[in-house]
Amino acid sequence: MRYLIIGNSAAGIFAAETIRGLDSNGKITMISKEDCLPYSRCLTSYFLGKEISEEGMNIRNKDFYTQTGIDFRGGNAERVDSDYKCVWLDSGEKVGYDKLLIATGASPFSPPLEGSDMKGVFQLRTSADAKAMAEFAPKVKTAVVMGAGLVGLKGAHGLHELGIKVIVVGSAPYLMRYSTDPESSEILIRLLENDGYRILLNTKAERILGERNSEGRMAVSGVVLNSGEHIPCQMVLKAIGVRPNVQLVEGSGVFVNKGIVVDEEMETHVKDIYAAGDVAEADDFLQGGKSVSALWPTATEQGIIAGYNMAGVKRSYPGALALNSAVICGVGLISAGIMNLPPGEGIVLKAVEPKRNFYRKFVIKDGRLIGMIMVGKIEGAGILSGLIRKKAKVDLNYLNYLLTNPVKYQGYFPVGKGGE
Amino acid sequence: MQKIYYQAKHCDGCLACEVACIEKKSLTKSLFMAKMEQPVPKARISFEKFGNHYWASICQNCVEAMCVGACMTGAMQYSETGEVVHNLEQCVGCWMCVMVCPFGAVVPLEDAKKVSKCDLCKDEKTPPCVVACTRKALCYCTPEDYENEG
Repeated sequence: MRYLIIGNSAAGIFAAETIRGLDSNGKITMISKEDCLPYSRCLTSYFLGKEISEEGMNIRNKDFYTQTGIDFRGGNAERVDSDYKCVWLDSGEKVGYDKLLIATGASPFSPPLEGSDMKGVFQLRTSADAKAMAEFAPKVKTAVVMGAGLVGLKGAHGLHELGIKVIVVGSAPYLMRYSTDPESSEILIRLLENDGYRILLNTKAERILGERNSEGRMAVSGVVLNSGEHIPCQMVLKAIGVRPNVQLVEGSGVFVNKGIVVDEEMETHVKDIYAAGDVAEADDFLQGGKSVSALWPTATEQGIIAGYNMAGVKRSYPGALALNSAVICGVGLISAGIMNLPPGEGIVLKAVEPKRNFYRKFVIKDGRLIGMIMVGKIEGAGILSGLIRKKAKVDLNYLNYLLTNPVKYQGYFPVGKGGE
Repeated sequence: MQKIYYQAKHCDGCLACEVACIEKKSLTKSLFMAKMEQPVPKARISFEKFGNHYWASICQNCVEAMCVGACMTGAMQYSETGEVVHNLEQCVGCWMCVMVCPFGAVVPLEDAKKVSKCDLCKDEKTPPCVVACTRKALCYCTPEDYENEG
């Protein structure tokens, strides 16, 4: 059996390892346009902030490809030919497959903005992005981060670690709108502001101003906001969002909506072509329907499921559950599932202690826990996210107790009354 | 592969295992000095009473571990024999493993910005927590032995 995997990040690596575990004789070929060891994109901001070395970003050791027996090639896959079962590279080379996994991930996306082509405008996704930013950073005194999501805040943290004054500009009314709620965001904003960040919410950048530098190129000199304010700065980090990299499958018959649409076995509409990770549009665990989820744990889980099915062992994917973990100014935040329900729906339990940077929120619907946020004391968060996964009925009194008490494993979680 | 198994029916909640774990994980290897260490060492096993039983929270070395999938640094990985091992050097303290472990067995060490979990004390013949358990609620054996002997 010839397996071909396009992409060597989370989904690709975990799929390859799973396949190797099930089929020791199969030929696994991996193609990635980044000709390097598998590394973690989540760690690029840590590298930027000099918290880890460049090697520290790698998620597997240097012998990974040889040990696992993967034929790794650096190259840009350009087109999938599903009739002849091969993938064309831009070098003109052709690679055949029996089972193909597309794990090409996603790329940063931002709406067009005047001045985006100037020197000093960055995005943070790949290790090359992080290196370019780290190289430019010594010349920077003030940086504007566009986007108050997880990537924006992590990038902001990296720049802050380098002693740069950071201004975060977000269009949403609160920070990390997909993984927090207004109250927890308030705690985070206070922490960030005490640490010297400036946070501007409900604000958009209108254009980036520039001036000609000594090399004759336009370089960033400031940002004009829609409030009319003009912020002088030398660097702009765009962290608005990501879009799945679906260009590869265009014209191959694979159905693409927002991402590559896959069934519960992670197979696309074309037989023997699978997709996983940030590029895939897979089942959603709580809301039903399909969704694109650009999270590390989701990508690895989808990679594992795809690996099983590619190797011929049927396994179905339970669906993507939103899980987020962030550390803001040393305070942990973990959230899972649906954090914000429309008013009048479900039951929400909350405990807030802003002075201790402590916040907990549980969202219950139809007697089941469907979402939670924990700020501050995060120990035992997995027990609650596990409970969301189990879709078990929960005891409200017990959840009320957990709002202010440590969450600990107790064999079986209380379901109504009694525990065993 | 040997694992630590726990049987709630034998446990009377004396917490000798927790004490043994703290002692082992302390820098001074002494329970009395451990109290004075900064940061205070944490046990990798913890208990909660629920109903008539005490429930232990300790790494189960899952065959398909959630923490390995969630770990964004590659610090959590399977060893050749199948245990889940945690490489402290690679860990950055992102709490992703804490977020997914359904047993709550990953212990965040906030001060060090790392996590830790039961490593089965591979330098000892039998883990100290198992030695300390006089009621034989904890046992250190292979899955097959556990199945056969119950």
